[in-house]
Amino acid sequence: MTRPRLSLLILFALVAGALILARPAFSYLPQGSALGSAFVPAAWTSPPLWVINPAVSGGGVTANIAGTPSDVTSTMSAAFSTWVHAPNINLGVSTSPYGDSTATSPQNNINLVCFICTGLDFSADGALAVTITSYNVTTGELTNASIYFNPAPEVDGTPVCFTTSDTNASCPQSGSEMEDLQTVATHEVGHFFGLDHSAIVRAIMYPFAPPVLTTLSYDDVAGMSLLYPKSTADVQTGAIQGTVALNGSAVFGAHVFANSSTTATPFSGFPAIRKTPIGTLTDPTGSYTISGVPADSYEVIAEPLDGPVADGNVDWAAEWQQTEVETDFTTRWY
Amino acid sequence: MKHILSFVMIFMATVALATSVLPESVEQLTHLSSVVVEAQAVQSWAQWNEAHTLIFTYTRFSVSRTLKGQMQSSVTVRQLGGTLGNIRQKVSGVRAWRTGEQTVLFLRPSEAQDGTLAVTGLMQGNFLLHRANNGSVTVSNGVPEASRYDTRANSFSEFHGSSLTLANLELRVLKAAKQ
Repeated sequence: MTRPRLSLLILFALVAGALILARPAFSYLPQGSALGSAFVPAAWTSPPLWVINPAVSGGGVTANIAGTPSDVTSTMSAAFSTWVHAPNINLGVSTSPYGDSTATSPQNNINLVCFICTGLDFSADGALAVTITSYNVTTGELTNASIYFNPAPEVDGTPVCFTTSDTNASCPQSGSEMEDLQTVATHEVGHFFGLDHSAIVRAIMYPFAPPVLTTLSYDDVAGMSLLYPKSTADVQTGAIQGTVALNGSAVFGAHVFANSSTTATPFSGFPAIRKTPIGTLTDPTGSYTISGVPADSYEVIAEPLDGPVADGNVDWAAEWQQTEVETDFTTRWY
Repeated sequence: MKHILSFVMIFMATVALATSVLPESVEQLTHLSSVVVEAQAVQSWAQWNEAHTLIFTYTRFSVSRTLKGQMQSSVTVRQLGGTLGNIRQKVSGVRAWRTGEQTVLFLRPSEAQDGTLAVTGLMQGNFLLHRANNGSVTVSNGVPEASRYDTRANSFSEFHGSSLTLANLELRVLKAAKQ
């Protein structure tokens, strides 16, 4: 059966210098709300304060963590630091000047990190952690974000234990499988700042992570720097903008990404930042803008969002009040 | 001795799908669930929890077939997140249902203890139905094809959450429910 052909029109490409955009632009799959023809991203308007309940046991709950309260606090600090010290990003974040929290349930007035919290429908299954963000759907202002770790996750009936940098610590539950706490935390902190999942493989916000991954990719940096840009960027970036059409009709929800065709490393001054493509999804008009793109030569590729990352991972169609994203086309590059 | 769980995936390595979950087999999801049903979303509403700190979205489903648990004509599922007024609470990766959507649900009692149910494994116990033009019916819970190698057991576990036929899923659930 012959599939319909996809015609991809790149309206223009600019890979260096600043670009004034006519519409909201994303280099990631944002949290936020579609309002009419615009998408309002969720973001903090002032530096958030995160507060940790560092307890790994209490209230009849013992978290399966190989580490002390001090270890988990250090791990969370490292995860936040990874984001706020990345290039092109201007977002301060602070921890509580009032000391640690003792809260064991969600709170309205604090951005809580908790390992023994209840009320979240956790059970002994593969759910490791959730980040719940609260934001105003009209303004996009993030008002609360909290990260909750499942105190007793299991996979296929085997307990899962979070490991920390304390390699001498042992897991409360014997026979546990191991999961790197900082890997999970770094991803969750991305949600804390307003990022949704990315369809770029090897991005920290890609929904399927390898066992250990604690550094950011070009795609992650592009997303965060768009939400929280530095007035003077560490590395100059531009944007690639265009439209994806199929037989003359707009393609909604196509995954479009810019893939470097060279060995250049524009973020070489930041060795922890991994080179990856930078991507986004098309809106209902088929338009896309890939922002935060450093100077380089790129192929622009459009592919259906049909796996491994699918609409179920990002809920893009629901955000735009559409029935589903369009996936009946083949991958094309230009 | 600590055992490191390593994963090999058909497309790429994976361990955790975030917000963050480890892939569970259909058999394990069945084992963890008190109820497994084929159902259609009828109605959804959001409300605050008692402490007014969390928004939960409740969805009532009309049940067409019960694969595990006591037969019932409808179930109500509560999920973290939702929108009330201008406030939205979002949990990335947790997808709300639209009215009319058909799905196979793996469920267990929610912490509310009010008769509502929660999806097992966060979003993993939600297999949306997709009917192709050729009449085939597939289901997906968003988990890509993956294999997990357990160094302790020296064995692989296979996951096919994105490419199951409905018939295959039903068969596996019914078999697992008998065990």
